[in-house]
Amino acid sequence: MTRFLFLVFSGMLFLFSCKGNKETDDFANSEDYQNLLLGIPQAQIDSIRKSEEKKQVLLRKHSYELDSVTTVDLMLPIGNFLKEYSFSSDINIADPNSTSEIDEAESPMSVGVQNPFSDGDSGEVLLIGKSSNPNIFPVSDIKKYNETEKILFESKDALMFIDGFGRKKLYYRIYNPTTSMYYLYTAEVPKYNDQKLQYAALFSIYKKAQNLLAFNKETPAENLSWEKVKSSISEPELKNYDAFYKSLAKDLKYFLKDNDSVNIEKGKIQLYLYRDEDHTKNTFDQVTILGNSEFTGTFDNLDFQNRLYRGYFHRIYDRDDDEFKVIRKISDNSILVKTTHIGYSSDTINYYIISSIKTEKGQFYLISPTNENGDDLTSLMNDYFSKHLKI
Amino acid sequence: MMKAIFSLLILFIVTISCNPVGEIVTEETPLDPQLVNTVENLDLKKGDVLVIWGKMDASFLKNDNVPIFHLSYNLSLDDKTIENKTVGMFADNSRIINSTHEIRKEEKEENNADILEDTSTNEESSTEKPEKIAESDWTFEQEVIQIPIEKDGKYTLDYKANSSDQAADSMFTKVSVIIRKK
Repeated sequence: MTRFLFLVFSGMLFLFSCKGNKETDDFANSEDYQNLLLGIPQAQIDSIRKSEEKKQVLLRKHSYELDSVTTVDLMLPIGNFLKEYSFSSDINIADPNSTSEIDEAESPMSVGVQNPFSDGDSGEVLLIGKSSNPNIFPVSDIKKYNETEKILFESKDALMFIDGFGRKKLYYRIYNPTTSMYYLYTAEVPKYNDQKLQYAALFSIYKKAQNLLAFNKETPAENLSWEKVKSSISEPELKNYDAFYKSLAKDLKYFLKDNDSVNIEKGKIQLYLYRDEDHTKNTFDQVTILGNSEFTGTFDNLDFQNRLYRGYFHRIYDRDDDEFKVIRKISDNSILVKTTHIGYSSDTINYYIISSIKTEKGQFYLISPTNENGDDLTSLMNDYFSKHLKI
Repeated sequence: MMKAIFSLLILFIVTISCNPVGEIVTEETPLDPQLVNTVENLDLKKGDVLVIWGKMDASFLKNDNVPIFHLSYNLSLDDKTIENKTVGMFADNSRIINSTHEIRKEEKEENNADILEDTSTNEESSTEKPEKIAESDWTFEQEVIQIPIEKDGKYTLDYKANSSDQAADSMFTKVSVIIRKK
């Protein structure tokens, strides 16, 4: 990235040192300058685009309450979620120098779209509003109100461009005539060091935006496995997941002894891995035992040999009051459990996946929060990891 | 003439390789207490000494108290562990290089002055002086451990480090690891 900026900077220097406007224009339009802006060859960009386009999308429906009267349904790839966001996006949809551009009644509400690794809130922002004008906020306006140094792709409703700082941005608009609602997907790609990752992120976001209202494409929850989902996930996301599980494997292999634990908590992801010395010595596996039981009760009621409370849950729950219930066996290695924290006015319910990992290094347990069906991305990955880990 | 330049060049190279600290194998890598760091394909020969260095970059240190870290490392060759240990990091003041230390005395006073001005009754409150804490900024590198190599090969080094000291979580404390070889 620094190198890229440096290149752009030296390009600018060169540009300014040119005499006369004609030459400057020539340079700005020259192939060299265009290549400088792209960062990597066009052919490489095209192949990244194709590979992201080819990926099957696995979508889930999310409902979001825009205000007290309006709830919208949106389709997002597995692992993505919506987050309240009340600022404007990084892309100007109206003239930034004028304040009275947008009609109050037609002005949009903003919602953040995030994946487990979103850094900050402003990366992907969806603007939703109501208007009788089907052509509201056209691509031509976006080109006018933003610094589009290099346009990567343009169509009637989409614009992908690089701005003067080398940032890659996306604009995608959808208008639904039956509801008179418009949806503007705006995004700025995270500044990964690797240009290839930046492009992968850009094209994967474009695909996400195109499928925003694809209600007929919802992926059935059954039969989902990590193998299936993996091929649908964008390159930058995969890289992050990979780093976490590689680290867990190394920890398990080299560093976790006795009853040691490691906790990886980044963004929305939490992975807690611990070793159980007693279970290692006695070849006891509490996941198998619980999976075959229909246990429900307080943490205190758990079998004395069961050390889930001491191993993990003591961090959050009260032994005597809070409840623990086995929902179902996910696989031979994993179970889905439900916990209830008894509060003063209301109870808090959470779900976890607990996976057992038996290796020559000992008996380990991997725990992560999950959803009520135990079929979110973390669940699929944890179960896969516990089955296929080779050390 | 050519010869003179050549011998100068040789002298230069010799001088560099006599560097007691050794040559850098990996640049400083910021420490992530949650993740294991891996350095693969470390090409080492019998007689080499692999040296792990810790780098501390701390601002607003109180009385130069640097948080102590524990570094666990595993050196392996062909997937077989050669050495697996946990050692202290920044526990004493020995084998420190590239140290820059600056006392933040003046800023501290300025801060106090600001606060006093805010509480309009500045004359009276100046009597209650807090206990003296010297604040400083300190950047240094310190040798953590030397690992003598007994066999040629391409090694893998895995390491992680963390601290139970609360000060280690401060945004003003940056810790990284540098791998050198001599």
